[in-house]
Amino acid sequence: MLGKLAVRNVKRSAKDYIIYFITLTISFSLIFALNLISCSDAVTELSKGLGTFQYLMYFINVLVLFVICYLIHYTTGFMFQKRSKEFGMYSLLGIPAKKIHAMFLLESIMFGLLALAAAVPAGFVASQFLSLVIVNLLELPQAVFIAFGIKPLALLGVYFSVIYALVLLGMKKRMKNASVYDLLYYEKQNEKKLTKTKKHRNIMFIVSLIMLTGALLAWNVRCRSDNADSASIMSDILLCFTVIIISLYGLMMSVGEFMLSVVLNNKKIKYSGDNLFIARTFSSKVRTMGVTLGTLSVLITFTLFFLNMAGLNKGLYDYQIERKAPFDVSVTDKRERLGEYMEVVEEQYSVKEEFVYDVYKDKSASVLKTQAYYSYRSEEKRFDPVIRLSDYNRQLEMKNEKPVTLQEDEYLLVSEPAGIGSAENNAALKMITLCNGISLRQKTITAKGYWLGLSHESYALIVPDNAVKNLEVSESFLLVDTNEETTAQLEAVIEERMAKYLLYVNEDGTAGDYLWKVRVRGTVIEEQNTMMVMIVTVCLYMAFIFIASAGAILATQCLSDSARYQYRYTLLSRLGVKENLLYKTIKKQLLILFGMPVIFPVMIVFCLMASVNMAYQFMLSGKYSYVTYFMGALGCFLIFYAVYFLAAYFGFKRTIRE
Amino acid sequence: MFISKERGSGMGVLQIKNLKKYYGQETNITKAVDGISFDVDEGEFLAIMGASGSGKTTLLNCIATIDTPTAGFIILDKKKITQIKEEALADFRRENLGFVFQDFNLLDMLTIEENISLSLIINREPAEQVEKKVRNIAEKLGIRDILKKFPCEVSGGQKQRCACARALINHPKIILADEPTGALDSKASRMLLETMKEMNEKMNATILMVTHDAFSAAYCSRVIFLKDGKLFNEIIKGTKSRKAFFNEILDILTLLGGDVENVR
Repeated sequence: MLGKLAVRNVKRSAKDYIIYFITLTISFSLIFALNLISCSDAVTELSKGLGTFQYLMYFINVLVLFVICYLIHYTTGFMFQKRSKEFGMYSLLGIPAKKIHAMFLLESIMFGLLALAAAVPAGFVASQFLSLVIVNLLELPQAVFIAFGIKPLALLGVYFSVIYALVLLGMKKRMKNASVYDLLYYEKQNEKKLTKTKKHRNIMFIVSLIMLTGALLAWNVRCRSDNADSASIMSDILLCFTVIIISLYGLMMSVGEFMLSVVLNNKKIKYSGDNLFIARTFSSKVRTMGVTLGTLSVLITFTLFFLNMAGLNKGLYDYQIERKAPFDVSVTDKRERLGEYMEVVEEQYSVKEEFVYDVYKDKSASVLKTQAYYSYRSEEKRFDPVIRLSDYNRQLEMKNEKPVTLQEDEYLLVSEPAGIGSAENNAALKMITLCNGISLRQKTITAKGYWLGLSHESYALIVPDNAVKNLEVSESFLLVDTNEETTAQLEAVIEERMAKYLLYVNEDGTAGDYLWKVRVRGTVIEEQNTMMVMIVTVCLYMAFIFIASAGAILATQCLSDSARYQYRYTLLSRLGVKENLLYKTIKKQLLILFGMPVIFPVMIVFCLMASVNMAYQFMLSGKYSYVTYFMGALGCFLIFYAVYFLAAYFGFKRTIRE
Repeated sequence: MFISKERGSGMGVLQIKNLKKYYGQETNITKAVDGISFDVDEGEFLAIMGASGSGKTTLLNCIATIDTPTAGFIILDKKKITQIKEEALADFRRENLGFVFQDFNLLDMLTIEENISLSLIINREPAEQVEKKVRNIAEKLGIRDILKKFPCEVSGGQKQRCACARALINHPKIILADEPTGALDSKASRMLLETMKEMNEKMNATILMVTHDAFSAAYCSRVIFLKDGKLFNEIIKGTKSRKAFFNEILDILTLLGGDVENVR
């Protein structure tokens, strides 16, 4: 009988919780789809780096599990509250508490199992769609079919079990503490306020606002390019995020009262339209569910942040490729060996342009000694790398850039962007003397130096050709541009054919290699594509789960409120408020409820991204490119969020109409 | 004042002894029930009346094991229900108590038949027995034709008779009714009260009904009046006609409205 009751309850609840059910189904199907992809041999074979995708997904899924757990726990708790009178009735009829709990938990699991059952085929279809996106991002010629796998299915089963085990444990504790009286008279009980007085809430609002401003300013200072590589950056970022999260909770727990104070203290606002009704309704909501709104704000902040990071990663894509592999093939080795490398390249591709040049050592190391930023160079590299002006200009020409000119007594410092700031302020670099006795004054400092990406150097001195007289050659480089786009296959061929120069055996018998001496643009593109696939997929995946959870919680809350507080609208109607005005009030109310957890995250993420942009500006295409990513991310977010808003609005209207 | 001797002298099916239920703490204490004692005999139809806030529902909740008293005893069929352990309460309720509420509290996803039979099914009674008992009680309460319908498909009066059937089916020691006519129109109220009277007289059901409606109370054999959590008065129908009893109830209610000293 209890099983029958549970089945009928699930059927009855289906209409009320359709949004929650769809969200759960989509979430499970996304987990399954990404498991299928990350475990698929066909996908991991697409690129060397995709092998790590599976392990990355394990980590990401732990975060996702917690968010889905929160969604299910919240909604299940909500269902329990809504049906508390019914459970009280069961209790009065003599059904033991354990059986009632078992029946409710059975209902919750049945709901979850239904979502799981729907998620498996949906996830399988979604995986095929996602594989198309991945293939497209990797610029591969043909689609990959994702086979149905037992491992991903088993993983989904494990995730489902973990989620429901946690949720059911929480619910069991909650139900155990509820007496028959609590169950029967739940609706008549006063909701608990989170803070005692109005004054406390207003102080909390101001303090939270100050904390948030402080954290954003600290973040901004930390993101300045000079400090970007400091060792403490991770702990500082964590600290900033912690303060931001705490202040978000504080703001969401007190914003309702603050709004109400503004309305009550301003007669024009107070007695205009439905402002008072809306402010009172919202502040009473915030008083009891401030923590939930805080959690939703945090989820939305992370959602926007992930979406922005996905955009930023796409923006950094070109920079990373240009930095790591500015030419189709780059090789560094002894000058006499470079011809052999060239032969291998010519066998595979038709060569458009080739160029060999030397890098010299300036052992006086004027820059290295005075510029702390570059001082991490190893013992055998305690010199400043020097390049002849003509060689530097040739590289620029190969990249269709304008050549530079230098007076005979001038030099150019090419530096990593992050090091430019401190180098500019270093007076010792204004005039240097090379170890051959030639003195040069600094013309300028530039980040435009394609050579830097080849041998992992941070800087180089570009000097007039005559100034390298008597300087020892450090390394020789071969740069090749081909007519066709290179692939990772070329690097494999070079490594195989030139193994005699690239591989060695240590004295203790272990193998070593100099594979870093060869760089093929095709390999770097593949690596970047793989990285982009992983970062973009993970960011979008988490963003979607977070939006969906936040949207589903708010929509479920609204729909439940619409039934619970239906009398308020009936009363307004009886007081003469016309139907269209009533709907307008509902719309305003929902806009505030849905909008309030978004306003602060939007401002926060905009400030965060503006600061991040300062650190990465040199890598991005424009000074304000972050605005594009931000607007794109906000647009994506609002589209999904609006679906939940509309579902809640029309559901609310339907209940009021009924 | 006006309180007659405690009926039954400890022989009743239900005994309430010096029952207290206080809410709040320290300086802010509300005495919802303040030292009430009375008995209910087997087969009695007792009404509890009083103004809003007089403690009627709190008293009923304590008897129904929904709420726990602050002090005093409630003894049902020689068992102190205040001392029954939490785990045993469900069995106790199922075997000893029947409930009829103002808003019916029927399970809307079950048919009328299933609602009535729910506690029998939980008791694991044989299917034939369940069916027989349901038909029998439905026949007596005049709801046989609607057994296959869902609560949303029947009238308020029929719903309440279904609630009565559900309360009766286990032959509980006492049926607790909280404003059973509160959500019914006058015709349906009258029909329900006739039904309850029949339950009491023909099936020997002991009924304790909380009501603020004098007309409903007039169907009972005894009425207890509460004021500010204390027993205020008690009247017995005896051989009086229902109309005379109704008038007597109205007289007491008039007294309940103000201080007795003010009435001349």
